[in-house]
Amino acid sequence: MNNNDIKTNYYDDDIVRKFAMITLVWAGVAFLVGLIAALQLAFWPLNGGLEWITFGRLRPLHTNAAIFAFAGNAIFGGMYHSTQRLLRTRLFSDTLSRIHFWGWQLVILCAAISLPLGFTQGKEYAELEWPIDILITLVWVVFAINFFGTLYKRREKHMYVAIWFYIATILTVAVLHIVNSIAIPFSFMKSYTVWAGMQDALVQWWYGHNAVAFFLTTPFLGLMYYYVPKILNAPIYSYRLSIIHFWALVFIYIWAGPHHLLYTSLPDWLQTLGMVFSVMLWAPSWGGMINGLLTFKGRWHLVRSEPVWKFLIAALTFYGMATFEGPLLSIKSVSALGHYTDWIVGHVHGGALGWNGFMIFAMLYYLVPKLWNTELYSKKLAEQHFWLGLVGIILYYVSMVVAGVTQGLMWKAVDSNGLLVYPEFIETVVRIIPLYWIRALGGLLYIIGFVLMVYNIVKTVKSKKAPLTDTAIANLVNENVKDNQPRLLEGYATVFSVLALLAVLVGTVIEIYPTLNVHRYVNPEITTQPFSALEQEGRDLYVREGCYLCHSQQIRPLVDEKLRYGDPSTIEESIYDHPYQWGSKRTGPDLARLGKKYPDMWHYRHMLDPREIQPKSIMPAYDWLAKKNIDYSQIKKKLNVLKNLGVPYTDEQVQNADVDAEAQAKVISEGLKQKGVAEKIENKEIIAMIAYLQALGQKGKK
Amino acid sequence: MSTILFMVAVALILSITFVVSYLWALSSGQFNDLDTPALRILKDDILKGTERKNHEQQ
Ligand code: HEC
Repeated sequence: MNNNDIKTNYYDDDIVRKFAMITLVWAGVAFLVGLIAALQLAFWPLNGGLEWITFGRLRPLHTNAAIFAFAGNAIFGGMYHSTQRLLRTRLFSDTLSRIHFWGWQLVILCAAISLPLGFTQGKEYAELEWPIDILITLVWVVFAINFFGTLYKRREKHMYVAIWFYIATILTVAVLHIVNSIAIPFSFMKSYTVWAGMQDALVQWWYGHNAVAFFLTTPFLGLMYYYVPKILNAPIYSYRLSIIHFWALVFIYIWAGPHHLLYTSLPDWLQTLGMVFSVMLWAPSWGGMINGLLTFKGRWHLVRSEPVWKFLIAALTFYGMATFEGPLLSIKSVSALGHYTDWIVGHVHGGALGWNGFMIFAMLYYLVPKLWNTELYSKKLAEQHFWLGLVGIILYYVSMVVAGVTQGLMWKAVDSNGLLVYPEFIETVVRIIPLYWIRALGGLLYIIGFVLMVYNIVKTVKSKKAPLTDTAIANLVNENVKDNQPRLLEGYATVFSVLALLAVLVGTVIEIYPTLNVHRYVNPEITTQPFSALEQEGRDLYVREGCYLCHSQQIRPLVDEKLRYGDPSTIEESIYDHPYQWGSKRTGPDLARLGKKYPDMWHYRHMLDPREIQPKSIMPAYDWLAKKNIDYSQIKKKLNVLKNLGVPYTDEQVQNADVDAEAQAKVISEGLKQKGVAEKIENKEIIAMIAYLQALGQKGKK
Repeated sequence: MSTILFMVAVALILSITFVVSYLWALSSGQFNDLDTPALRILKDDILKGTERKNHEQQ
């Protein structure tokens, strides 16, 4: 008898059960926070006057929870389940699996506490501060060791295409996270990114776009390539297509980041590159979608009675829609209209709710009965979940595209005299508020569907028939291991991984390397003044409050923007910005040239209650800025870190940072006092904020 | 201008690399069997019921 046959081996199902359950928990949190944030845009008082849940702090909580907690845990569960079966072996180490699980939940917990408190690096989807970033890195390394260890001890020589997508995911996310998060701390929970201005924008969107690519796409494609055939009990339509799909996708995706920065002061060649590669991405993306959908060929009649199949088909269709719309939005002239509007919000939610959400739901409906050794409690509830979810997404998507295009056209409208038709920004906001309500309704329907699912799953779990055990692996003598005509690439895990990493690094190096020396792009005749100590302090408050999530600081060279906001932004103006604050959404107007537009008193009143100046405003009131004292204790350290990063502060400026800041604060508060402010405000945060707002657009002059 | 030259060079190198690696993949049999991998994953290879009990007792 073969040696292998003596001892029974088991898959680790317990860890998959853990990830599956926690996915549901975090999904609830992510959806709920999203709904509150959406309602705040329709009805601002919903923040209850609490600084921790104003839009600027809630939005990062929502995105992080959706991406890293909901999608993340689902990915880990699905990967651990499918990898063991594809490689016919138990995971490398039970201990590492559990460290991975608990470590990741710790990361999420830290995020859930620190983001509402205002600890943020001010970069979208990479908000978490440096100690949490380090924790993420450690957990990711544990995950990688566990995964590659499993690959190493696999009992199936050939690596199925799902595994390739997992490999690309693990390696690329590691590179993205580390490069984008490099920062110099100046205190326990605060740091400045090493990247500055245009360079920071490039690195951030290289990261941001590829978080979509390698956290929300490649792992999900891997799951799709496993779970679609498993759920249908039919092979994937074309294995050949999946090979092409994989290599084309990982190679092309990484270049597309600059499509988030079209018409900004990013160098033109990078914008063009980003646009061209984004358009090319359409082909492999649709290759993958078609491959998934055609697997249903000859089985379409069964879809009517199988809610899980419906989820899969809708997920693949939304993937196709999002990957068609993405290249479209990457065309410069379309970006000119769509960028900064709610169209983009609609676009990501088509992907997140439709593609990611529905894939996860399908996977859980399939996995939970299997893992708990029982049947799904109710197919009917799953069916209702599907339709509620679908209607929810459609309401969400359509309302946001209409809102985006409406507002975009209103911003652009210029009359025959060459004047803006809607010079008041608020007019364009008021027009789309009804659509914000419809969006919230869409989200609510999606959540109701999700609640049905939770009930269904809980009932299913409770109906388990026997005590839970791990699945026993049949120790077949595996003929593939002795395959005498091996396919080298898929037999040698290491070679494969290196090649996949290389495919990803090509685009990265070509785009980022030339901008490492930003000064090459700077006009030497323009000298940019760094922010004064007080202004820098105000800038940190701007980052803390997440103002960049509603306000851009980047004027594009388009007719209407010149009329509305002034001259286009230049590279030089943001060259000392750690982090850059160009923003990606204009719920409020651009602020790049705000300085000196209004008197200090205007800002004082507007920050405390925007409605006092602009009765229809939806901006939150920031009255706590007038109650909290400026923390001068870190200011020297801050300027010192910035100086080391290349911001031209002199030694005296660093030494006298606190004295200078207090002197400037005194001048501003004296001015306000003369205008009738009775409160004692000279060391309140609002003064620093006003100093910063008045400095915007004032620094990079010839 | 220098950026364009740089990009042209990069494009050439990349495209040559792709053609060469494709020819290598073709000739080394990477595409020889495109059917069994897709089918193999459908088989679960797990032990259930009495089969599992017998195995565990060994
Ligand atoms: C929920 C989105 C939102 C957030 C968050 C937000 N704002 Fe606004 N902001 C708006 C809207 C909408 C307007 C236009 C109506 C108005 O003037 O109040 C606006 C207007 C402004 C204006 C006037 C600009 C002009 O040119 O007239 C300033 C200044 C401003 N915001 C500063 C800030 C600062 C500083 C923060 C962070 C502390 C912030 N905003 C956070 C939505 C937001």
